[in-house]
Amino acid sequence: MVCRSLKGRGLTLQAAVSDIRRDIQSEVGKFIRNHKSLTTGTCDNGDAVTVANSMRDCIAGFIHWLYEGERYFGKRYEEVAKFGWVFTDTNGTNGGNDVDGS
Amino acid sequence: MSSYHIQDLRLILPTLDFDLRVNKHYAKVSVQFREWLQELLGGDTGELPEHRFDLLCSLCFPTIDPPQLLRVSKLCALTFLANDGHIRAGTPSQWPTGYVPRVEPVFGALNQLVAHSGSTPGSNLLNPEHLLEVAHSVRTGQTQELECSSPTTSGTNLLFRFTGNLLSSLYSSRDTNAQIIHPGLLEFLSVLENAHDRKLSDGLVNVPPLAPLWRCTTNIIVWSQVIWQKEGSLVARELTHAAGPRFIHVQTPSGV
Repeated sequence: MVCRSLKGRGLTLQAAVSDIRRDIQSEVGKFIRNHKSLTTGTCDNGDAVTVANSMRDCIAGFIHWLYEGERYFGKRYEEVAKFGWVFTDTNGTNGGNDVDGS
Repeated sequence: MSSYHIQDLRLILPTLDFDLRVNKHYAKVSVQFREWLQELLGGDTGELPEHRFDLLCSLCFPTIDPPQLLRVSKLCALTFLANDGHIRAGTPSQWPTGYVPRVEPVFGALNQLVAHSGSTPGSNLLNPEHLLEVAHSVRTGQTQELECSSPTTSGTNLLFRFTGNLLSSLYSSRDTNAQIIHPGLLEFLSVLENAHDRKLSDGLVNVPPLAPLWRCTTNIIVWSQVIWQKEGSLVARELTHAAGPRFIHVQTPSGV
């Protein structure tokens, strides 16, 4: 997805990442609207509301978890979580994501 | 060396207007989970990144009971680790050592696990033959017998339902020669059915008001993990998936 933005649209890495973040934000907005519509609308299916609330747990839980381990940011994930900068090896020789919080 | 700045995705979340919750059994279950993981990996977890699957499940499923939380955490770990190449058929000594990065959709790796011809060490639940049996039973409505013959914990029943639904999805897609689907997330979320001590009606995924919510949830989770992928792996992923989208529920963001 990021690479498609990089190559197909001529975006910089930063622009591609920001682009996707906006899409995620937009999707969160859609979720909120749909969730509100479900919980305040005419839907009398309590189970559906329960599941919708559970989806909300999963979204929030997953996004917080991204910042809480080494899977995506390596050993220095705490610095990424704090400062937000990711340094990547553009040659991909070391798998990328050397992280520097400076 | 290039760099980019990640705008904190967590800042988006307050708009969801609710409090993030951690399962109150997290600390207790975490100890058991880590012991299990160490045993599964032959006592050598040194080279593994710290994924904290138990934390993920505690955040995503804040109300389930300890047996459920432990089992879901195990299943989650197996899913990820199998996908990463840490777990394969055979004995632990035959597993590859070190980290073998392979970028695959979050929660979507169980299909690979199931595809292995051999059994999965350390987990009868994820033995492919057993899963097939469960799937068949679920599809033919014979879950009662399985549930009764299994240890009487809600967590076990939960996993039976989960794996059964997952396998049903997988094999349905095979039957129709359809695109490889991405049932992992939706099925993983379906464990929520048991999170409230009552059985929810079947087919909730297809309830019209929920359909757009499922889609949004899937997109948010998949896209948010895509951003963070290592760049080298990202290229590989894009090449691998150049033939077409792997997901049926995931949309491509506009203009990307």
